[in-house]
Amino acid sequence: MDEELISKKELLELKGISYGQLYRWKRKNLIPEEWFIRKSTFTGQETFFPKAMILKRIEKIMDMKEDLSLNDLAGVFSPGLPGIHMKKSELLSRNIISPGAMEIFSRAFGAGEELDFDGVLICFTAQKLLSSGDIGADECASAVACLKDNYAKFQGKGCELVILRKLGVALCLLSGASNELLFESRAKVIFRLSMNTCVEELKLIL
Amino acid sequence: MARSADDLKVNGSMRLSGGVYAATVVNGALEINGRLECTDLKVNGMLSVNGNLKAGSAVINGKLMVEGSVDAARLDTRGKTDIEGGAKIGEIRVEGALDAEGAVEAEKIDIRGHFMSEKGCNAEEFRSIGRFKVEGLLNAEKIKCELYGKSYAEEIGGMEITITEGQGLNKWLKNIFPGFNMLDGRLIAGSIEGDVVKLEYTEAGIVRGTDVYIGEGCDIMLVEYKRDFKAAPGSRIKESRKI
Repeated sequence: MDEELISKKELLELKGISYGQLYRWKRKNLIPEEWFIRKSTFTGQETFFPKAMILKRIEKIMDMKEDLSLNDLAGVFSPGLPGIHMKKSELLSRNIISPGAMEIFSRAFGAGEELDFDGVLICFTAQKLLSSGDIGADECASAVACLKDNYAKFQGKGCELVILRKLGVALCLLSGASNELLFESRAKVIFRLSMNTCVEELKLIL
Repeated sequence: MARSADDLKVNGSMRLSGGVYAATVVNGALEINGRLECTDLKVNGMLSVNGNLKAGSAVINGKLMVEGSVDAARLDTRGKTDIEGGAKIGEIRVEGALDAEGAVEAEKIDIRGHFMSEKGCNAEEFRSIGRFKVEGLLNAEKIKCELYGKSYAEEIGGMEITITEGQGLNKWLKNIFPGFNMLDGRLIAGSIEGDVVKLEYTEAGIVRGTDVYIGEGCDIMLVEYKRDFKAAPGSRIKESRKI
């Protein structure tokens, strides 16, 4: 693990929050279980968090707390599926998805007009890949196929989409949350995308 | 739309496959092979469900055994409830015992007797008079426990945590016979963290809080407090620091 950690004590001190608040947010699933990393120190057990992620999350919670109730907030952060169904035409007309991305998506998923949340998410991911400018249409199609086959298997636990290229050949993979991936030197990571971040962004747009 | 479900009433002993029912009453014994869904459930006797149970409100006078998980608005157990999976219940009231092998999630938990969860427990309010055992984290906004017998929690976290010695017979006997120890109420916990933490008769590795009050009979390795700290003379604290 080379990501920087912050202890619970330092976190509370830094952000001026109390134990009660932190446990309340944990209870409401605003902070994912995987972020609570237990380590033994000389004073006994201590809990640590991935520093960058938890600081960003707590800022977001404190920002949004004024407008939304905790339960609404939980909806924003939970990777679970809100029962959303959307029409393709609506996604296009609201400019959430571009026609190019929609075409790639439709080739993999068929021409059905209505999409559930996972469908919209995969479509949105394709859109992100294409608009990044680093990913070609074929590579995007293989990423869509990879998500189609595998995304549901993570059951909302959070995963990362990684696209590699070596000697001009692209390879797409989905990795479970907080797995460390190391690559050979000639392989180039062209794109890494946390699906949970993607879900959060998407929920804010929808 | 779905056809409205029928009531189910069992007098005597019966075995059924699962299904969806409205009001369900069991006088005697019922075994369900599969999933049971009903609006209201009343058991006088025994109900065993070899699947998941979903109910509006459930009143158990006797015994309930569920092999899967339980999803209910309210569960009243006077007797014993065993859940092999997790439980998501609005309000739990136990006079007797509730054992869950999975995680327990509720708005309000009120125990008189015995409560056990093998995978943690989340609630807004957790009240216990008696004994509890929580493997993992007991996380509640308000935790109020009166100890009778041995209780255990790996971790406790919340806003207001109050642990007191049982107020009944034990205390009365102790006043008459100093050193009386038979119904010894005691809590053993790895760590306890909260905003306001008040403890009696608790053994813990670490206690952290904004305000920490350690009462009689406690044995704590380390106390870390932010604002206020008091320790009763009859308590043992190895180390305390202000942070």
